[in-house]
Amino acid sequence: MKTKRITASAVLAAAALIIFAVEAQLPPLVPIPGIKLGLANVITVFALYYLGAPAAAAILAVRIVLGSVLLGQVGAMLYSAAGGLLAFAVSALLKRAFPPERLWVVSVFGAMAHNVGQMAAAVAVTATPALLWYLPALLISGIVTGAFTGLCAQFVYRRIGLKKM
Amino acid sequence: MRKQAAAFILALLLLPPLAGCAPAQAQEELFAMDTVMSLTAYGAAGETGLEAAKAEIRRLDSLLSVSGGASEIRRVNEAGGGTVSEETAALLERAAAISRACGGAFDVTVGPVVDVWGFYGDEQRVPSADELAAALALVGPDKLTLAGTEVRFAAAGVRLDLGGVAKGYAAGRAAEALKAAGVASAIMTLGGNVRTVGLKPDGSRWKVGIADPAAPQAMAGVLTTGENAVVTSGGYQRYFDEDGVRYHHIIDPATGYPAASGILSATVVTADDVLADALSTALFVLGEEQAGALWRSMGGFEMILIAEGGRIIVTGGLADDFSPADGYTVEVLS
Amino acid sequence: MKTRGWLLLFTAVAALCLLFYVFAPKTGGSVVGIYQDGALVRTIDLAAVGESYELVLERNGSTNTILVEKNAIRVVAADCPDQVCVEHGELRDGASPIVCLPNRVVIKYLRDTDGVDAKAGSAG
Repeated sequence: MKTKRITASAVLAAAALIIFAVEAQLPPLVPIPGIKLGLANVITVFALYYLGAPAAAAILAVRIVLGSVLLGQVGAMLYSAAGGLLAFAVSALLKRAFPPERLWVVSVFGAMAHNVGQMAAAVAVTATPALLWYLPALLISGIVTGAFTGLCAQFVYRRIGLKKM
Repeated sequence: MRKQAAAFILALLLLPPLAGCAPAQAQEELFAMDTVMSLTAYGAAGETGLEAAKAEIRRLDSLLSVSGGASEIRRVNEAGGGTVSEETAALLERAAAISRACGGAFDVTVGPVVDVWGFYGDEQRVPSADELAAALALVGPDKLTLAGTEVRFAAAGVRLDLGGVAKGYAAGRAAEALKAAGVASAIMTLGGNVRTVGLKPDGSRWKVGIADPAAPQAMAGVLTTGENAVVTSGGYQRYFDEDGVRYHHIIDPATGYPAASGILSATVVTADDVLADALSTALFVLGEEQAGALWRSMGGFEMILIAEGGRIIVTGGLADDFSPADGYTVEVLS
Repeated sequence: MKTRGWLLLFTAVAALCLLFYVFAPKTGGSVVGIYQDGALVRTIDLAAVGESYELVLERNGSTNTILVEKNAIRVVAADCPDQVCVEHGELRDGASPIVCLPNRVVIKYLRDTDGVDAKAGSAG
């Protein structure tokens, strides 16, 4: 049983990294800093329901740290980490209230929380509250991308089986 | 599972210090050669590259300035001649060659005249006719002889001023230092001189704005270029007003007065740093017609001349790469 | 709540966010940096300035007086002989900073420079 979980975690972590790296090669959709598809979150939210919070946390941590290092953007890791932390905390908490059929809702809240966390870190580090001007745009982006990735994760979850490992 | 997850996360946190911080962009501002310089280097080697570039610029500032303590130029000026390092000698040789090629429009011996106008100090003023005549007598390519590393002046009082090539030369050396450090993409602004290294990180060419002489905060146009030196000289860069008349700092070595050729700014684009710097001054002094003639006969560079009346004259090689701002018209020279 | 309920909720929130931009004043990118001797000494968000105030920078007994207003910054007085910084007027774009060479002061926008990577021919 344990081996299966570890293997599944490793595979998911690798998948998350690949998705993250591939997405990073795409040109930005919109010229606003911080708006991206966040496709790797499909893995995170899926893992949350499939393997539980601790495993999902580990997978997320691997993706953030190794992703930044591999892409040579270690400086950006701080913002990813801040966003990821808040997103994960919100998602893990909400998971208790939402069954797998509403997985996408958790994803939306997670995505919005991610952008808020990232924005908070950016404002704190650069000491420019002016950045907050972009917050509404980031929230819209969170809703849209969160719904999209959430639906993907929900789809995968339904396919692989509602059996939690 | 929880303990393992925690341990794994902790282990990962040890990685970043090992990987080292690799910022995508490093930027530095510094004051050197009597102007403000801004250097931007991209890539992992950015910071080390900039340190090397800055060190090189400071070294050259010290070596070539007219007033620095360790300056070879100052020493030679005060002693009325002397021996210089091979590097300085090579630069002098090059400057003298360019000076001959442009008929003396650019001249490193113009020091005495610049001095008499007060541009070396804090007080600028219009010199008297006598002062100017005396100073002009010390100016000319024949006043300087270079034998190997030995500098000889034809008369007492002859003064060298490498201000017209120092920034260009320094930019070139700084670019080499950046490349040696592993930087493949960088852009530097040394006063009015722009020097690019490689292409932008995404592989596209750089966009260099050309200052609008009428309103230097704005741009008269934008040039798209690869790795090149883009040097602009214009009277609007340094000047003083006396009795309602404006006198700028680009002296015509032939007359001793600020050049009045109808050109408001001259921009030279070429990979040859020293040529770009020296020619930008020379072309400003020469004016439209002679500049065009020089371009046709000499080659090895492209230019953008901003003349009065909103006219911008661009040489054929840049026609596709330059777009003017509103209010300006482009004439292509062929 | 049913799926449709959540969909409606999120759409409403998104619409509200959009409305913010329709009614909000345009700023974006109004942060300036003041450098002295190559070091960043002040960062000011011009859009967040309430009451105008003056900033005095000193170097070797020579001063620059900078006026900071809402969405505007300029040097109103300086001891330097050329007064280029005062004549520059208000800071306009990122590629042309306000510069006082004798006092080693540079004031510029900390944002994109109107699509240009550098500018040749700056005064100095």
